[in-house]
Amino acid sequence: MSEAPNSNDVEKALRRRSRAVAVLAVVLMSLQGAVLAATEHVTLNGGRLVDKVQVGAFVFLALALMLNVLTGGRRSRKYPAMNDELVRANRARALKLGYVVTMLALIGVYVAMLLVPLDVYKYIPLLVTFGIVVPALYFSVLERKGEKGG
Amino acid sequence: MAEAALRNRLKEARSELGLTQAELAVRVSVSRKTINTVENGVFVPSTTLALRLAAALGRKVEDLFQLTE
Repeated sequence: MSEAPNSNDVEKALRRRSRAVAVLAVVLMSLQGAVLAATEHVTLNGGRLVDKVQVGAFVFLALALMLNVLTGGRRSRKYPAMNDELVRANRARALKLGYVVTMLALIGVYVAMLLVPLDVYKYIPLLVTFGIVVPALYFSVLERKGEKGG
Repeated sequence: MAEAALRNRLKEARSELGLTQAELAVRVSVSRKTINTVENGVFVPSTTLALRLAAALGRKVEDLFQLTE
């Protein structure tokens, strides 16, 4: 018979996940400048290797962060309490905010595109970042709430 | 019609059994934080979790959770 998971281990894993999500979100944001510059140079058949690596790193990190927020990460398979209904409610709230922010950003780019000439594709990394970083950070904040108490 | 607030007696019921939040959390397979937020009224549990909490504490759901005007 498998032993019930230790509550302290679950607590530690929850705190670690919350920190990891916040750190990944900050790293993703910090890549913005480099990625926006690299996006201009990367083409299907050309471009510098360093630019391709930066774009690749951004895409990988964005997907990793999105999956972590959506699924709760690998550790939650070991500890089902890491994906309990409070976590699912926090995730739903975070994703709702992410949806609103992404739509507002898209509407903003669309309106701006009508007023001034814009190379819209250059702003896609920024929009991706909005859509992933905002819910990730909000999820991390929500997860840190309610940690006190006996 | 104004939405009624949910009051709970989870903390009292848990204390009467001498359980910590962590011990109750393990019994119902949630995190201690979830128990804490339910006790503080920050998080309203689903019917399923409310039933599991009641079973773990040997109470009826309506003994643990009541609607207030």
